[in-house]
Amino acid sequence: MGFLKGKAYILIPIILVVVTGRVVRSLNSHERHNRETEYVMDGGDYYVQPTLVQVAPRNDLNQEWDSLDNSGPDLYVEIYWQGQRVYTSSVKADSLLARWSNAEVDVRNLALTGKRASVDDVIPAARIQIKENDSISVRVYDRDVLGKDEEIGSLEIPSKFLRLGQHDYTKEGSLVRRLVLKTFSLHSVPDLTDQDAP
Amino acid sequence: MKMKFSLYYLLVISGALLGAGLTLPAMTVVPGYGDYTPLIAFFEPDLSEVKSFSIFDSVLLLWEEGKYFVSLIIAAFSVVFPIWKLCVLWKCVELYYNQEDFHGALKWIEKLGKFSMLDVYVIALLVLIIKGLPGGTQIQVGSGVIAFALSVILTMLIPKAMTSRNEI
Repeated sequence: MGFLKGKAYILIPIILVVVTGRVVRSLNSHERHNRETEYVMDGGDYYVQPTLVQVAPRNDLNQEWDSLDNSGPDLYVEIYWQGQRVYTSSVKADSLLARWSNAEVDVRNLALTGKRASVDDVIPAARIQIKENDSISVRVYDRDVLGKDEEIGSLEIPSKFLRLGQHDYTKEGSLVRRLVLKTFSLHSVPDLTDQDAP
Repeated sequence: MKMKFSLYYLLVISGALLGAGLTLPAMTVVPGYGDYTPLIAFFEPDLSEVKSFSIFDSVLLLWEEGKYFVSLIIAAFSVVFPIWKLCVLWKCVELYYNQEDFHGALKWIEKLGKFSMLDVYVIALLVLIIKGLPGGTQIQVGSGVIAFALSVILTMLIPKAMTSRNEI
């Protein structure tokens, strides 16, 4: 104790600074974690966008996805809400790991139809409204040119459990190894017509 | 009896403020891209992410990026020096209450004390410089700087309190 008493002027300030720093740091990271896992609000309108899907290297019969040319599956995602399909993604050919961008433009369709694309049009996402006891169904398919598309896996997510931002909703034991969805408010997308013209 | 322990309380508060100041966000960078800010925020959200840095984070980040010299300078003046100052002050207060001579140690604190607010000056300068750049990127001063500055102010007041009482 005598040794400690003599060194109190060194130990106490250092311990004080370190302990306070650790407490503040853990409180800060807890707050950041809470922000990152913020859930959607009841009655709110949201985009739900699949951004990444990874599937197992072989199908449920332990065979290659495409036995004709030994290629990977041609992946696409559908989202169902209130019993109806509300979104179909583009097809990512020969992919075990497929990623979709924040924005997609069907140039051929625009060129052929002469339609205009608004900011909302280029967002490849399902548009849903959150309601109590509601859920969305996310289904991953392998596009088959010759036969019926094969469903690789599906996931039922209660709407109220959707989290804002990009999160992994993978289900254990599924052929879909990873499913990342991005959820953001319908009203967060900028309406460029509100901006002053340059 | 009450007055005997008041300087220790100030030291404890100063130490706690220093710990908080080193780990709380010292500055927050809000990226701006002028008129294209909303577009970039949507298409490349990572580029528009608001980021906060504490003094401690800055030291670690600089070290990880290979800027060892700058990292060591900031660690020396922002972390080591303030803690050393607190330790010396604690010893001075011990000597003061034991009615022993503490002026020798205090002289060092007074000489090097002018460097204590270096971090606050640097951050204030950064805010001004970044404000002038095109695009509208902003740096906001965080609570970490305020806590750090309060800690430094307390460590300036404690020697003043000791010397003024001594004169009386």
